[in-house]
Amino acid sequence: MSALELRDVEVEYDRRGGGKVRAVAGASLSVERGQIVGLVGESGCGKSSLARAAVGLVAPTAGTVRFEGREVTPLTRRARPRELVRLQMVFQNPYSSLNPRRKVGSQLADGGPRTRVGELLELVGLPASAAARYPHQFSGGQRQRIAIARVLAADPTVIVLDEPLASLDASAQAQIANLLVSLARGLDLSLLLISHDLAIVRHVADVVSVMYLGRMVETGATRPLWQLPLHPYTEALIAAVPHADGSGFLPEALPGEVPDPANPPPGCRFNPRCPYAFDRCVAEEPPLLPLPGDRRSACWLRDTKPG
Amino acid sequence: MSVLAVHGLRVSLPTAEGRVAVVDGVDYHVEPGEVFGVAGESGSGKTMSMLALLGLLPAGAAVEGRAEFAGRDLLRLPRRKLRDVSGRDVAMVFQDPLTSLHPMLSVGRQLTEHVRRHLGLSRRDAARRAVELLEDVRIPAPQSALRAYPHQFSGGMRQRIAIAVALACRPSLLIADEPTTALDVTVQAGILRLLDRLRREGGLSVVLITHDLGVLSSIADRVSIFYAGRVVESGEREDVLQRPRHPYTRALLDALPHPEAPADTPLVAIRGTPPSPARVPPGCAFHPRCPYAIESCTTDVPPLLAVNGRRFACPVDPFAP
Repeated sequence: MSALELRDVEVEYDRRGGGKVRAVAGASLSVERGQIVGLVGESGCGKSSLARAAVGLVAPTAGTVRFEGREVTPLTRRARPRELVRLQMVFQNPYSSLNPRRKVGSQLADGGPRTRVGELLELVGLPASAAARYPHQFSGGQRQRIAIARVLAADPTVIVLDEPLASLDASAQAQIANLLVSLARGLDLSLLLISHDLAIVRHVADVVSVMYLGRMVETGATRPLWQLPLHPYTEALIAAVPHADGSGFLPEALPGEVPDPANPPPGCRFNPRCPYAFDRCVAEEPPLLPLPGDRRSACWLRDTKPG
Repeated sequence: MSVLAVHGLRVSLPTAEGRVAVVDGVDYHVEPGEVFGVAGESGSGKTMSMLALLGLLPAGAAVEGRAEFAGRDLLRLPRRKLRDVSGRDVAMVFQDPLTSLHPMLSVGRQLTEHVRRHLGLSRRDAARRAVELLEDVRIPAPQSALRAYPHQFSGGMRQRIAIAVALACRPSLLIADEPTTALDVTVQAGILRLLDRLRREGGLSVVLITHDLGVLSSIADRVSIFYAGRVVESGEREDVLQRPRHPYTRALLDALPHPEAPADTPLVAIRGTPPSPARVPPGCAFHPRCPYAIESCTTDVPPLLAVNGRRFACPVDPFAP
């Protein structure tokens, strides 16, 4: 049983002025115990919507979300079911999840009467003295660590992190990335890390899922996926990452734009931007094909059976 | 001759804790057709040092030093004159293109207003120039784009339009402050390639401010690394990024994930956090975070010394070849 399992999840939003937008159009993903899964893709690909569905912040219009085998039901006005407390989420802006008027220690103690505040702060690498201070007295990276400590107070088994490293300097990013790895390895936590920063995902994730226009286009173990991407979109994402090696290497741009999710192109959703697209890609949408080495790619180029 | 030469730039701002120096004696120059990269953590003074050139500092700011541009000192130009220069010869784009684009005016109006005012073109010539500009920054269907409004475009397209507006009057210098920070890598690569092409084909000089050493490494010819309002290291891109001599430059590079690192190699974070401008440590501002600091680092501000075509401010010099 996976710690977190999303199967064929669809998320729809009402569009202003009528109509619906399908932000997630049938995406599956699973996170095993102690595993870090990276979810990458351009903005508008649906990765944040999928994250919100994963923790029950939005109701999927189709498909299922299971946390430790139990179905995740969307949040209502009632208290969150006790068994879902161990499924937690960290947001991009730690300021939005911390109360600016309360001391850090008292916010951490919300986890319960027996919360050991000093222990939580130590887990995220902050001194015990931090408890007596307010959120604004910390740097952005420290605030993100406080937000993570706050989530740890609930004694979670799965944490979904939506862009936890964006808007941080490289050194603060490094600290948070190290913290995430130590949580997964040391506490056996399962992490779903949503990030547009491919270099960091490559560094910390065990498994990567690549999302495009509401669907998974490739999944696989991080290292082989980076060494040999099996979907043209993954290839394009990796080629676009700049290298800080002083060589003057100009990253490759991916032409075109992510299409409107309300009006996806026929066939493979990536075909209008794909340098390898052929007839079949326009006619038929490729499923996520299982490939050797426990990999999957939604690309007709990888289809070994004649189409 | 340099397009821009800045000497001894100091900027101080009034704060609740008194007057605080946010830029503390910075020198640099930008050559024709060159991309000059400025990097450093947030609060290092990189943006303030550029806003100072265009008279865009917050009220109450005090500026010292010289900024020679086309035979004039930008820091001493009367406001009206500076506005002429900053609209025409020096242009700026920001992280969020919506700061430089007007939300209620069509793209065409924003492009033509500039050129009509600064270059004195007729309505028809200005419209033709606007289409050229949009083609130049690779906006598809430029004719219909002229009638559209900024919110109708994606983030990447908006940044291209902001660059087109900035380039409308054929400036010789473009100051780009984190122009790709809010964009996806795929779109970022397109903007970097655009800037690279503009400098190659049009001889545009670019000052590129970024916190991302990968971005810096892609197109900057020369770079300066800022820390707490001062330059700690500057030189050719290859020298500084491949063989850094200042411990801070080294530390910034070490904090980045390395593509070939074995699994679960921890990243090397810099201990501590950058100082706030009101509490810059004495001596070398980096000394509390520096593993190589010696006693004199805590008292003496290290001078920026020239060594083999680069400059760095570290008397310990732990990475001397």
